[in-house]
Amino acid sequence: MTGEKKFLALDPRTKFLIWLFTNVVVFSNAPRIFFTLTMTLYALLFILAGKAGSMVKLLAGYAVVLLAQRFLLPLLPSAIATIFATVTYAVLIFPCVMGGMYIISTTSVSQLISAFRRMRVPENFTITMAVTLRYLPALREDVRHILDAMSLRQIKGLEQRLECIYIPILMGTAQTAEELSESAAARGIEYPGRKTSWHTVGFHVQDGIVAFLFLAVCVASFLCKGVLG
Amino acid sequence: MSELQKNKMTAKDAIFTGALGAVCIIIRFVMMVAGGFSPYVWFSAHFVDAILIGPVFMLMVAKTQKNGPFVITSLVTGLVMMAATWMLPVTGLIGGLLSELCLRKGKFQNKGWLIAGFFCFNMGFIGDFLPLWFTKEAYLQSAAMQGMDAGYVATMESLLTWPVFALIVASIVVGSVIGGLFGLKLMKKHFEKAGLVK
Amino acid sequence: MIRFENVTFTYSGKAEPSLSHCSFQIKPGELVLLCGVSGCGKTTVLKLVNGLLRQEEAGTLSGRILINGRDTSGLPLWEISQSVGSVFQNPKSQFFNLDTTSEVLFGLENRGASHEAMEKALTAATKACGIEALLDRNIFQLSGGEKQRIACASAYAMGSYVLALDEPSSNLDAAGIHTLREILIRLKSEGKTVLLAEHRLWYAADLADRVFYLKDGILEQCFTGKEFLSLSDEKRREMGLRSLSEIAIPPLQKSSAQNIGGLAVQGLSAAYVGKPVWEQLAFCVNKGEIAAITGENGAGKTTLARCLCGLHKEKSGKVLWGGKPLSRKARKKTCFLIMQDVNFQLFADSVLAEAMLGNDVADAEAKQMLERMDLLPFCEAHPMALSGGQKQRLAVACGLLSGRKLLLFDEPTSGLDYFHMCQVSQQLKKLADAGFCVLVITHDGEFIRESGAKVIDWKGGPAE
Repeated sequence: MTGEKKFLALDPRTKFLIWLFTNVVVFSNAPRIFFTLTMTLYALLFILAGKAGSMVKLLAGYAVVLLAQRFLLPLLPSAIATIFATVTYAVLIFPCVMGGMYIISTTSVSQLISAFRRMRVPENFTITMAVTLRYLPALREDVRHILDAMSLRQIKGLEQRLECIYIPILMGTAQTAEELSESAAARGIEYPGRKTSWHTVGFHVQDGIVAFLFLAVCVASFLCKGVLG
Repeated sequence: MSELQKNKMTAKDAIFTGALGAVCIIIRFVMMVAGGFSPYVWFSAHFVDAILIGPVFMLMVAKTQKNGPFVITSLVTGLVMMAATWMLPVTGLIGGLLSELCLRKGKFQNKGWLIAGFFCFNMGFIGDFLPLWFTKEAYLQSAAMQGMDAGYVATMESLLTWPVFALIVASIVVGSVIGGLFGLKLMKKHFEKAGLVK
Repeated sequence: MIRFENVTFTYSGKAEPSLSHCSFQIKPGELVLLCGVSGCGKTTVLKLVNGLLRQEEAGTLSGRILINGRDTSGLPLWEISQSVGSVFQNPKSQFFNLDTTSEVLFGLENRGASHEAMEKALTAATKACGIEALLDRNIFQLSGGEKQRIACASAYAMGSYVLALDEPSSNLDAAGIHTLREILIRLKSEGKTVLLAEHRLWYAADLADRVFYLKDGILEQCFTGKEFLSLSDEKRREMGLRSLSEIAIPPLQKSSAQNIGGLAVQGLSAAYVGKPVWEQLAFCVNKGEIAAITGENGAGKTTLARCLCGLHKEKSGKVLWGGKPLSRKARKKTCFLIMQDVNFQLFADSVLAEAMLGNDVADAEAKQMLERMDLLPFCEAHPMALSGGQKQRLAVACGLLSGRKLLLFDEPTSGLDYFHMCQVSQQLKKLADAGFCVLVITHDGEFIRESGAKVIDWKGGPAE
């Protein structure tokens, strides 16, 4: 997080905008060449954000699925091949997946909150989202403890097992939420006026350039429909 | 305190909603990853989701007793998972709003309306594979273009029909009823008894 | 600065007041220590000061509370929060953000402070709480002590003159408590008014200007710092208070010689995601013994507990019971872990059902066990409605009913007062006397002394 300034940082709002453009390209059934174009742009953005590693992993996954689809699936009987249909669907909408992953891997929660505050999103929504994102990692830890505790007891039957996972999770969540809301209230979360953010966001030249590039691809994909592909 | 203020979501409600919303998202995410392997799992994921989320939803209703948490949770879920498709926030918004309406109609107490609201809440997540139906042509073309045999394409074509879609919706109805009742049962058995919910 | 005038507070749903006819005055710059056994009303006082109990649904209040000469009744919480900063006991649940810097500035963001103001506050708070190295980090990767420092910095950054700290040391190890002490010294030297509610008194007793002793919701006695420090040990125990000076953890001893009656660990090594946690452990614990496992955070104590219970796969080595090696699966049936957060291991809808869950025992046998654990009167209650100590005993009952021979306790005394700490140590002694093997992971020197546990050198092999 500390080295962020060295890399190209986009305003979260720009990230959402280009992701929307990407969706238009994908779901308007544009010629394939525009898919490749969007993916190239995203690959560049990943590298500029210093996230080349995640991009390589993502593209490697894509390549594996693509190869399997090309060479492996035709060899399988069609009944078995259908089992893998969703994988092929992921290939079809891959530019969107890349866009979503770009937002997730390059945006911190505080930047997101800051962007939401700038867009005047209702504070209740912003708070809920922030708590959700903060609570996800804690939840994983809790589940691990509960599974440990369960395996020390002989618990049988699906409904019984479900209940045993649910009770501590939900009780724990209720407790944590109670304590968290006290700690937030004691730090003035109920202040009715406008709030600010330490991590500021704002539009810069790079936001304009990137947004323009994606818009250009999007418009071109419409113009070229029927000519290419 | 005026009636209006009482019905407005407070920061505390938002925090509660956020924490329980995380539980919903984890469940949906796990089922979605499982569904990534096969459309059959994917199509039945909503049914399983509904059963698993029942207790979470009912606790959220019991704890907040207000309008707002459900549409917000639906939207946050859509945003967190938007890598999957753009349609999630849209269906989430519609499903969430309908859910809020049902809950208000039942004054957050009436069992029938609770389950109806839960059904709408679950329908909000239908956007995860809905685009498959709309992009059916492109999907089949691309698969066919890449040398699939005709049987495969035919199978997929028969799966992506509106009757199959109706079947999925029906499975969500059944799942919502089971999940909702399971949730209400746990509320009574544990939360009311432990004094966490009145 | 803070004035209570005949304050009585009753939580909604309770018949008895949690605080009655309480009057006191605290001068600016004073550090006041609030002590007394659990449920004495310490937390109630703090929550009245920081305003958390001022909402209508929390309960009924009579009397007046003045902060800075201003009556706080009717003030919204966010306004009170400008003059009173708070730190809570559980580091896990008081964080709102994922990164430390945003967390420190959370209070300022909420009140819409400017970027310059935040920068100033951040610099000041960083210096006061010594968190330079912790800025811009993921909170989930910090230790409990580091998290608590961030919480202090967050309260400090709001610039309030009053700080209310509610058992901030509950989940900390010795090193964490020492840094907490340094922060207190710093706050005092800056002239902040500090209200500290605590069970562990040793790290703060000599810093206190005054000490309030509460009992059953009544402010029984006000000591000056000096008077309090000169209390005899006898008197202090009578009051149900923990030691006023630090009780160091006794030096490590070789564990007992091999005895076929109990647990023996031979050449045990474990790794966590590829990295070795500890290697070549060797120790023995005989039946009827209480062995304490100590060590700083990150020494792998919890991994050891999980490994002994068969929850974590060892890389190499053996765990023997009565001279026979135990497979991982067999360990799950021989050992039982009572977790630090016991809430994770209670599942049923009544105490009796909990005791019988997964155990093949008759109703009468389960009831007998509950009687032994002083839980029989609650047998129809929901486990989550029990107190912390009762929950712990219920978990022990479940372990015993399933025929376990080795009982492992992970930090059983965190956040306990003297009385309840003694209760736990009595419990452990009883278990050892009944022939069980008891292993306890702990940082609590006073508890080790009280329970007579043997602090074993778990890395160095048993005595010959």
